[in-house]
Amino acid sequence: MTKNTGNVNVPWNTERTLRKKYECLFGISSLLINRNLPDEVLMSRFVKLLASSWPYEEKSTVHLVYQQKEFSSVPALNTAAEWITAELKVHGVIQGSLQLAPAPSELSNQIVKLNSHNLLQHCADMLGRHLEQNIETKKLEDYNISLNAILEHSDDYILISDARAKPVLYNKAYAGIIKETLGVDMQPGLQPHTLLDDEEVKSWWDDLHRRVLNGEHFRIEFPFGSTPENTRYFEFSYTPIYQNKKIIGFTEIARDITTRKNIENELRAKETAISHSINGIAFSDFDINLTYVNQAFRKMWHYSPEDDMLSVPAAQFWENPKEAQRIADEVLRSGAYIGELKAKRPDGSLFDTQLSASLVKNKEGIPLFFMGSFIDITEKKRAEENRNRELLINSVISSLAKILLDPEKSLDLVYEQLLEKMKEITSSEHGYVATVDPKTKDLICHTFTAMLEEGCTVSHPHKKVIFTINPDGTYTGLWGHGLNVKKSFLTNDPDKHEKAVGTPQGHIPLQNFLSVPAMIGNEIVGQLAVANSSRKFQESDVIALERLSEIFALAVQRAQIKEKILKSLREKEILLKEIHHRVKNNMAIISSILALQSRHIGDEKMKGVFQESMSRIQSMALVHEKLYESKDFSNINLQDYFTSLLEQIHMSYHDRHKKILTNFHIDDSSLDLNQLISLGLIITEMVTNAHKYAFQDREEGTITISFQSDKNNTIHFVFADDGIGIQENIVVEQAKTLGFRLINTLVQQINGYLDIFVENGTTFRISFPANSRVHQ
Amino acid sequence: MNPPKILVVEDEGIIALNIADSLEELGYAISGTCNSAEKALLILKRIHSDLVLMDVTLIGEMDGITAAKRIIENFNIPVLFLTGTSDAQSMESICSIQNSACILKPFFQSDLSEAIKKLLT
Repeated sequence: MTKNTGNVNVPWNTERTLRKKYECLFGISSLLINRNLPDEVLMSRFVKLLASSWPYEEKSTVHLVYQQKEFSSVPALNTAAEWITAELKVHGVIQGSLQLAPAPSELSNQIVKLNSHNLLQHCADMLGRHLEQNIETKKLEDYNISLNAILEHSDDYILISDARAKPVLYNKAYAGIIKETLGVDMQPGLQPHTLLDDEEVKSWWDDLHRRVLNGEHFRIEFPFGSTPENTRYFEFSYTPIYQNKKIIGFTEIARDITTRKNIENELRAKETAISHSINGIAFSDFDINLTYVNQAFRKMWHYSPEDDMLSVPAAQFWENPKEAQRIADEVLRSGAYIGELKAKRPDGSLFDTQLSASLVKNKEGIPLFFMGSFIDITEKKRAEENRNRELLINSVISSLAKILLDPEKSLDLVYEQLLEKMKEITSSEHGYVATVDPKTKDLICHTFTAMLEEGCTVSHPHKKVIFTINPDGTYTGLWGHGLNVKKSFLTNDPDKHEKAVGTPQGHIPLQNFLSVPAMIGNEIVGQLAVANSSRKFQESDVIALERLSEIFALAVQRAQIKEKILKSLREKEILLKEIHHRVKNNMAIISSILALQSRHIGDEKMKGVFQESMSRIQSMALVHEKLYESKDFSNINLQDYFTSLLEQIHMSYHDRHKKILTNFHIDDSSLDLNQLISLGLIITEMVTNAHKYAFQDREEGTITISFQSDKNNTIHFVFADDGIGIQENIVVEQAKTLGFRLINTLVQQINGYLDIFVENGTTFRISFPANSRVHQ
Repeated sequence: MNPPKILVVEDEGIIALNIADSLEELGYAISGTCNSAEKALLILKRIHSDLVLMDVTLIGEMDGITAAKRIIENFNIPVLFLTGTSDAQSMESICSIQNSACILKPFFQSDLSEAIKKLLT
């Protein structure tokens, strides 16, 4: 090849030019091989080398712009020169330019010019690739530094093993844990698990290595430790390392997850506790829509486990939907809420709950959601109500029992009280307490709440309502049904009850009705009834009223027996009065017969005998007269009797014009009827004796009667006159006169002793034991 | 001069007989004896009496006090009560009746005589 100066013979194609061109490229390559040169030094050498080794004869000027820095082969550029320009691309992006000012001869020939341009671009590309490699190397170095830093400073235990599972690289943490657990210094090639004694564990580790070297990427967690307290949890992550699709090793990264594991376990325990809690538990968001409910909550509200309850508004779980918002407001205001509420199920049924609601916050104190814990307290409430009910029933029974046990108390006292308690126990607005009239069998309501409006046809003038019995012995209507069947019954739909006959005019409509008969044996003595309860009547209401009715029946029976006894007593009193009256009249008749007969007797002595007999009869008649005039036919005022007796005897004597004074000293002792009649006869004999003998020739006299009892209940009766005095040596027991014989007999009859004293008249003293019957 | 006629009203016949004997002994005439107020009112309509001797308790519906009031009102005849009773209410009722007197059983003949004399004058 020859060097041409024209278009055909161009120097570029000459052998020399070609050699120089290769020399230039070789020089550039040599320069770029040196990777230790800083970029700026490299750039400066590059432009100078290119300028000096440019294959053409003439000196060239080279100018390089890279990342806004300029490098020139000459100190001053000829700005007027024509430049050949090549783009400097790094990673396909233009980062600068390479310019060369060729000799004029180069520019004259288009082919030469084209070749120069190609050569220049070739050099620029070489430089670009060099820069690319520099950047990659730098990146790798940085990456390597970072990786090392991560490895060394990581808390994870990192190990890289080769295809035979021999450790190649590990970090400080790994070496540390091996030292800590196995007591050996970690070094490449040492497989720590081979130092373990347990063949099973060794085999387990080998299996893990086999799996990862088979291409499996996996994680595994397991605990280390002999007791629950010192157990630590680790997560192992195994990743195979590929090169050219061939596994050349694997990484094993172990991390201590004890803290996380403990938190997880704790959370799991809490979740289990919440999920299986017997309390209903629900979470809701701040719009009060549910976000979680446990099994107990579903059970409480009768939801199945399949029912989707998320986002259900909490308002629908309460009888009063506004409660949900009220509780949320309260929780937001004070942080918590505890209260009892009426909850509502989807089927509309209600139950009692106790709710404890709170606001759940994160550790920074930011509210997350509402939490509510629910206890179904329906049974508790029911038990509480039952207990209160029981107390109420017991108190009513106690009140009834008090009256039942107190014979002075009238049943009228309990009717109102009983009705009030019946209403309270059954939550009723109305009711009545009635007894069956033993004679007419009509039902008499002793109390009746205001179910009657003006014009009610069953109202009685005495404010008592009387339900009359039918001629066939039955009762009408609902109230009568209970009496007819002799059983308790209730109806919560009275209008539809087969026995309902409707309410009379002026009667408030019945909403519900409950009736319990009060029975003694098979006989109805009364009825307890309630109506218009605010709730439905239940069997427990019947049981409660039946308990009351049992004692009420006893009270009614007692009242009826008392009434019978009183009536019988009144009848007997009347009879007794009549008997006393009859006895007294009979004696008066006997006395009259003697009087009639005595009129036909001329002998005055005989007339006197008749008169004495009449006096004796009248003294006995006087006792009966005083008895039937007394209030209770058993008590006689002794002084009144003695006074009347003395007057009666005094009046019967012809010497009654005589002035006879009487003195009485009578205590509050008492005598029975027999003793009194005996004593009356004794006094009659003594007064007669005084008239006949003691005051025989005198115009005045004094009789003193003393009647005293001592602590031994012995009566000391003294009769004294201030007359002439009886024959001193008289022996009463032997006296022949009828008077003394009678006295003697009567004293013996009352088990007494008679003493006679004669001093300023005659004194008779009789002592006898009292039989305590007739009061003074 | 005819002796004053006295009607004896006493539920016990024998007692009435005894009283009647006593009155005759005292010189009075007996216009009749009966045991009830109703009979007494009938007798008084037919037979004249100057005085009625009246027991308080009688057979029949009407008692002696009621009968006495009627007799005094209808016949203007004085009534002398003979009574064994001394209960306060009866005595009060008796005392309130004008033209009447009362003596207690058992009585002495002279008491009877004095009481009758007072009422007839």
